[in-house]
Amino acid sequence: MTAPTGEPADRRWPRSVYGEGTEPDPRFSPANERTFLAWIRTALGFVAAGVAVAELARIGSRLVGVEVRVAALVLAPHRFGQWRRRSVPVDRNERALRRGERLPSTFLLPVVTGVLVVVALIALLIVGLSR
Amino acid sequence: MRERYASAGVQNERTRLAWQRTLLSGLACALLVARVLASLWVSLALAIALLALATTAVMSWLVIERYRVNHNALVARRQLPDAKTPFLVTVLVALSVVGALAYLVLI
Repeated sequence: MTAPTGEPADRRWPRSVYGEGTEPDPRFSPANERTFLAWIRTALGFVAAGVAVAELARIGSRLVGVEVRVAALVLAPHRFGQWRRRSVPVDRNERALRRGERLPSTFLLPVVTGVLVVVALIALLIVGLSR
Repeated sequence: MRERYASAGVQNERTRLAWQRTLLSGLACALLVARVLASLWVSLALAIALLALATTAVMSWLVIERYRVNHNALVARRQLPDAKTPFLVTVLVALSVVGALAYLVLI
């Protein structure tokens, strides 16, 4: 779909995205935005989980406290990574939409799954140790 | 115009709902942090809770505005809004992550 005529100059930010290609189907950009928001919610879930885990560290024994802190420290950099990487693929997705190219894939799904598995194992270990 | 708007279906509404869910998640997260901090440092916890409420209020207003702009753009075949609001959310989440890391290091 080409840009409608009589439109004021496109000043939308960032130019690295909106300066490329043509205007995509209006359904696609909000869909991309919703995907971004879903990732943000996932990251917020990790923040909440990290806080909950850190809070557990203060009620457990010393050994459990150390283990829980390790789990929290695994969660914390991960959610930072999520934030950092998210800001890139959203741009890439929107740019691909505008150019009519294929959408890029993301490494993040297996990473998220892997981190969740590691955290679950640590949690199991803690439950086992605290018995 | 009408055809374009109809083909967009309820995209705009779904997007607004996704924004509202995200804002609620962020608010819940911040209030959880405030609740946890309350036993250590009451005034900081209160400040975080108030800041979270104020931020959510401002963001809600931005989301309503975005919905309106989207709606008008779809009906009048104008350009959809750009990426400033998503970027703002990203910055807010990043700030809260920095705060959470500081808390982890300090406890």
